[in-house]
Amino acid sequence: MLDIHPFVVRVKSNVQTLARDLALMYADFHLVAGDAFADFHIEVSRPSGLKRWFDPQAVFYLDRRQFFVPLSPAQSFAAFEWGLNWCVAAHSHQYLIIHAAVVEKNGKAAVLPAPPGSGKSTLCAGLVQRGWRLLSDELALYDMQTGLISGMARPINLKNASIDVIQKFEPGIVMTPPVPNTTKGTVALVRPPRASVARVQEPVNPTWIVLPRFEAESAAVLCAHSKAKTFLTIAEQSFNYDIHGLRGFEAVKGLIDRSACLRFTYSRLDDAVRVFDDLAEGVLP
Amino acid sequence: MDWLLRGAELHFGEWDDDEFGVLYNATSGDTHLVQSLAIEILQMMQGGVTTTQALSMALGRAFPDVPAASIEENVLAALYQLQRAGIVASHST
Repeated sequence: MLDIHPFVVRVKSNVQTLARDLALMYADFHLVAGDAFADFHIEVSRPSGLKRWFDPQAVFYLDRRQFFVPLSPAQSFAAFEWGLNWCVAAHSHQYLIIHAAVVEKNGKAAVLPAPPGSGKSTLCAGLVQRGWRLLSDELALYDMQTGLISGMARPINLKNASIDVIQKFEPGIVMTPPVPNTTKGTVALVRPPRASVARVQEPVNPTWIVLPRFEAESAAVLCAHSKAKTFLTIAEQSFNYDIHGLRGFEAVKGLIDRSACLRFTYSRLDDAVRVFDDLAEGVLP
Repeated sequence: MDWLLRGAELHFGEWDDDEFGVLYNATSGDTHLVQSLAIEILQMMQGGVTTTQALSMALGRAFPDVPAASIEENVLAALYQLQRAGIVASHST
């Protein structure tokens, strides 16, 4: 039973690589006693008996029901992470759930909503290797009553070229072995910093909403962005905005009202970190 | 030309110095990105100003330096945008 505040996850598996990757990636998270309440009962397992020799695939179960197409056992940890994302996004409507990275420094937090391929996770991984606190790489949990965001501080999901970029940026970084041929290409997950996990129960009051975009050979440029257009990006990148109706609209409006809205283009991580560090020191574009 | 509001319950998001705003139509559940002028027009329509001419005149009083033809052109463009989004409907007076 894994405590990924604010949720508890019961994990069951007979896949050895999953146990290895879970132990590596969630080393600093609390474990919960087996008889405690769990929000999600997840199993990622290979079939039992003779079938496992003819159909050596790992299947994702929630509450003993199979979901998703089975994957090769080597992809078990990625399947677990993606499946857990789905569990949270599809069931946790006490929050507005935004597809966004969230990082914090000096008590100021940046929300980075972006579609896949924007360089969000690469930027997030780079920032947390340089002292920013990780709250979220994928799912920002926005409490619509308090206006605070929490993020579970789970592993950062890197894909394809970004794996090599981050390994060069921080040679000692702890990540899972890269797994090729997934639906997202080659993936590897980065272990969250221990200091971020230790503060997983501390939500943040967002200071900036930054729309990131990786663009080859570009300088690191941060500039003001339309609040209305940022609103639309947040709504589009929310898993349950439509479910909340008017409450969701008012919640996103409140988030936009309180945050400086920016867009950021970058190509080199060192430059990107410098710009974000300046931002944390109060240098606004 | 006379215009009708089709959404019974509209909610707006506007920010200073932003040429766009957002509009939530509680009847359809849709959220739209619209020009800030469109929000101004909708708020005037909620106040009972419903013809192109009256809307243009009201805006003309707020922006006396802008030529009347330009105001009416922009008002019509905004109304047609709102019509395509299903928020207003037109009928000739």
